[in-house]
Amino acid sequence: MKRLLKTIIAIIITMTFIGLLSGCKAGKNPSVSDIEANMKQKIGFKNMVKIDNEKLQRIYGINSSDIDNSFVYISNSNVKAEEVAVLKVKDSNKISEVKDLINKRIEKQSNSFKNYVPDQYDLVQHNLVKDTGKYILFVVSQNKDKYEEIFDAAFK
Amino acid sequence: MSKLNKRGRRKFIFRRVVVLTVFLIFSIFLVVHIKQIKSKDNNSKINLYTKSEKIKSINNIAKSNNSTEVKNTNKTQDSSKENVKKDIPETNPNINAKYDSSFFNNTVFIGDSVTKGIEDYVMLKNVNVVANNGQTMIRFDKISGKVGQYKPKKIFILLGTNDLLNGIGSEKFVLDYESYLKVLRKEAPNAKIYIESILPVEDFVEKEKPLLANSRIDEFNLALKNMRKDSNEEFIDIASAFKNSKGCMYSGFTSEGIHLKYNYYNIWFNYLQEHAQ
Repeated sequence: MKRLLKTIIAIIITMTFIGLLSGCKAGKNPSVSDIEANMKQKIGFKNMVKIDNEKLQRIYGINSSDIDNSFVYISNSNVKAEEVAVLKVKDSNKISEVKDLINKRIEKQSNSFKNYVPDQYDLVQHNLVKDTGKYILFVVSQNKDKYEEIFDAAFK
Repeated sequence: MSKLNKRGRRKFIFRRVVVLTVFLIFSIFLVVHIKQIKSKDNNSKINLYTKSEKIKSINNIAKSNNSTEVKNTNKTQDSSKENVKKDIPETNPNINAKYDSSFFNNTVFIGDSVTKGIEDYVMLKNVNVVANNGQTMIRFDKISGKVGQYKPKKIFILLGTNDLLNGIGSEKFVLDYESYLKVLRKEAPNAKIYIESILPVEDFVEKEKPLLANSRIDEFNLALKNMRKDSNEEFIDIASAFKNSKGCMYSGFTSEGIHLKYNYYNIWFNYLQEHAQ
């Protein structure tokens, strides 16, 4: 009897743990392409073009070997400032390094628009850079809050 | 005996309760998991959907760009909607033009914000760009002395849009151009210098900014074509690759009528490669 009880309790505990773990996985490890699909469907990336890893390296200086998965959209005109990026780093100790590179990009864009296209300069100044776990969100857009909402929802 | 019986019953009930609880927990666990798997499936379906949408949108790049631009025209121009509807946007035949980036090795691009796009988007690998937003030929002092260090074999100059906006005439423009070429020649004595024609603007710009009318751009370009040149200088008419049948920039090729969009720089590079031999 006692043995049976022990086995049953052991089974219950294991199953609860498995359940909790898988629950955590779905909540804190969302797929980057799901976030992209969601943003595309609900907001879109109007007047932006998606850039590949080579361009990511050349424009942002971000090494693609540090990135597990990502999508980066930039404005299709160099007199417009919009960009939206979600980057999942392989190792969480790379977060600050990648964020530094994003801030350098912001500085470069600010200098480019300053005294030339004032409204775009303002847009860059109101940028959003945030990280959750291994994920970084970077937005320069009028729809900043909407993109952020979708990003946040992916972790709930 | 009765004591034993009672114990047996208790044991039996206890076992039942335990088995039932385990079964209940197990079924809840199953239901939750099935739900999760289902939602993942849905997400991947959305992914597939957007992928096929993407392919469609790539195929229709010209169409979609044109249609968004028509909307802009409606807003900015106040022209009657019927007219816009009748204007079916032309498709540029060079839309998928290819170029070999190695053709541009040892090249310097000189220009304004349009040329700066090469640098902003890092479009070509082994080139140097000497360009400023709003750069004019009249203020060539801002770029003089910056080219020589790169020891280029080829130089492409694309300037004039901002001079046009300043309201000067083509004679003055050519005088400034010639002055700059003298300075540049000293910096890069052996380089072949290509003088690019000024790009046309989309039709609605002509009303917003009459100084930038395509007729004025054509006049400036003709003046550049007829400008005195030495054997190592050549006029190259890139504008011709961007003009529709009305002599305007193809609809939807720019972000606000003037600045070339990222997706269409290939037409420019292709034209240079084909004609700058």
